[in-house]
Amino acid sequence: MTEYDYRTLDDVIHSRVRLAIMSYLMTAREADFSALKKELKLTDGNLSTHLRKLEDHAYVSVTKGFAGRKPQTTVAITETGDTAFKTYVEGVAAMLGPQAT
Amino acid sequence: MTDTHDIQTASASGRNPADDLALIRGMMEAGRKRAAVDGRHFVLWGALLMLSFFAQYLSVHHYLPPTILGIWVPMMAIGWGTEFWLRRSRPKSEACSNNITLVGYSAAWRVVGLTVLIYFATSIAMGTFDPRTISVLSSATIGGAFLVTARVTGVKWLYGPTAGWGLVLAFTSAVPVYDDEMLLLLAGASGLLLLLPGQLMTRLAGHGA
Repeated sequence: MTEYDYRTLDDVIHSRVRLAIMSYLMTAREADFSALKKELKLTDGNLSTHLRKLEDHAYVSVTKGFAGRKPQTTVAITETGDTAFKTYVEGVAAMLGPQAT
Repeated sequence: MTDTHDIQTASASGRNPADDLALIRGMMEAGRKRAAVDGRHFVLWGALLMLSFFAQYLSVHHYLPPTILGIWVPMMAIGWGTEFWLRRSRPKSEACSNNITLVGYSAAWRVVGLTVLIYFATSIAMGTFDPRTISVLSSATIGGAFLVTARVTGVKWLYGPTAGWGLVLAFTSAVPVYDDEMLLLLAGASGLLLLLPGQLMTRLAGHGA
């Protein structure tokens, strides 16, 4: 394994929580807030904080709407987020070397 | 690194790339399953098919006017119209086209819709409509689509409806006399093997929960 230099990686994604959110959205593409909260076992405030940071960097889009009468917040990955995540994973995999694949 | 937020057991000091990759794999797997559990389409088509088959049965028994087009054309219009509305009302996910899970099972279900629609339209136009043929086509393509969905998402319980549609296919192909009771069978199959899985998916996805 080569030296794992975190400084070369995207700081926005590098947080464990945000990495988990981005990984989940890479395959789910979108999820409602409560499903994401349940999946990650986070509090509302904690998840909101991380989503805001991802949204500030245009990695996710957050849309508020209604499912029937109930308010629903939907989080979706963006093209920018998709590209940033792939770059991040390539960086981590490169640090691991051939054993990563 | 200044961020001190961690997810559950991980600590920043204990991080290594292998842990990160394991986390990525785990969350991507969870997301892949989530991608399959938006069951609104299944609920929509399951309910429409169940009602239509039952209406057709009532029509055959003269409780409703004798018509095929009068039942199935509105059903398809409602189904495709609602699909169009669902698509428009969803938030835009810009990068869906390169997600192999979504592309895989979306394509499989599109094949179901187009196959049945094309057969129905052409056979009605040419006067060659055959109830057994459309039943066989429907059950084969729906079963196939469930199989594809189960394979690409890794959601194991979806093999249940896959097997169920396989049985419907076998029965509709083999039964010597294709009579009006088959309409009841197909209405039941639509409810049990399409509507019900859709409701389960919707519940799992947390829609309306």
